[in-house]
Amino acid sequence: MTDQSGASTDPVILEWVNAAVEGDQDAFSELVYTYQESVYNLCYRLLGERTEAEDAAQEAFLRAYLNLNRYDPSRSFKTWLLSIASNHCIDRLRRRRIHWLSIDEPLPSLSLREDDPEPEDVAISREQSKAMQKLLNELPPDYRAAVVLRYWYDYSYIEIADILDTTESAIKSRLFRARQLLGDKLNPKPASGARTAPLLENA
Amino acid sequence: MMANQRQRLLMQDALDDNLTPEAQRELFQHLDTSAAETAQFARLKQVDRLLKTAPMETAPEGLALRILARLSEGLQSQKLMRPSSLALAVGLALVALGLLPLLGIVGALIINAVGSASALKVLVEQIVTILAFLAQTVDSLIESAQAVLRSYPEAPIAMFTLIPAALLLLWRAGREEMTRS
Repeated sequence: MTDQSGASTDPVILEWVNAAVEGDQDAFSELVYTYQESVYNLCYRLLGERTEAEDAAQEAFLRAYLNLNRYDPSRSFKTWLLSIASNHCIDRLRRRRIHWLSIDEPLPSLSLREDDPEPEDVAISREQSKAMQKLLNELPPDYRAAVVLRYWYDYSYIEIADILDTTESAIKSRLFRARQLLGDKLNPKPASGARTAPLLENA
Repeated sequence: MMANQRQRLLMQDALDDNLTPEAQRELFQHLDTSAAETAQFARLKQVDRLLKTAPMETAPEGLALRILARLSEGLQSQKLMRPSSLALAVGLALVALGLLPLLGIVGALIINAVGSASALKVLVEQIVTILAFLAQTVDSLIESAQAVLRSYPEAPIAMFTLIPAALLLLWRAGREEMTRS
């Protein structure tokens, strides 16, 4: 997890938002520079493709600018912005009409085993990141959004439910199912009766 | 055997580090009795660890500038749209204003006609006269067009050629005007 959501908005951010609502484009530029990484990462993790992610990020900022007067200052600005981006990306994914998790093609292997060093000490390679992205790309849009908001943005279940306009229990269920699906893809189930206890020793 | 609802919740809480020591004991006791669920939990933990260590993807260079350029482009076209919308609104308002006296006259005539049979007769006669005049005008226009066609058979082709050319010229002039403003 590399980002913190933040429940309330920084006064400086609010100042920029208010100025942008009044038509100050420099203030909006500050918002763009502050949140471009977060928005782009969200779009990339949801769409899985850099060019499309950039286009979606641009679109998300434009939509945010045009709807700034609808922003509720009691809510986190970042959460509001990411909800615009995630809903836009989910719409794009739904338009693709891909049959999620219907392909049994082998996926690139991810080399994190229980005897690997602790994650804090590991510099994750770009290849591994790409492999994770390939796994994510196989999830249905709603599952993928829940996973990305949970793991990359550290949002709580309630916050994710708010962003994706659903219930907390739906998010819990999606996350569990998503982790299951990713786990099955990552490490196909062993034959029944196989001993797997050693994996748990470090759990 | 798949994890039941309770075990599923416990596993979820374990991944989120929200398990009480009692709940943790309950989960591990359950896992001790089921190799399949132990394997499932191990897979979930593996996924959890991978996701927790996945990096943020850095934005491409110049993204903010491209966003701002696209924004100002959008705002520019909105600004250009505003005068034309205003002109349309003013035009419609003027047309409505011009029609008001006409509507008043028609209304007065109808009210009079409803009140008296002779006024109704006059109104009908006036309408018929106007319609006859219009029919005559259209008739003479058609006759003139036929006369032109007889004298210059190439006239319709020239007209059909000139219309798109004129439209193209108008469109170009409009674009130049917009760019200048």
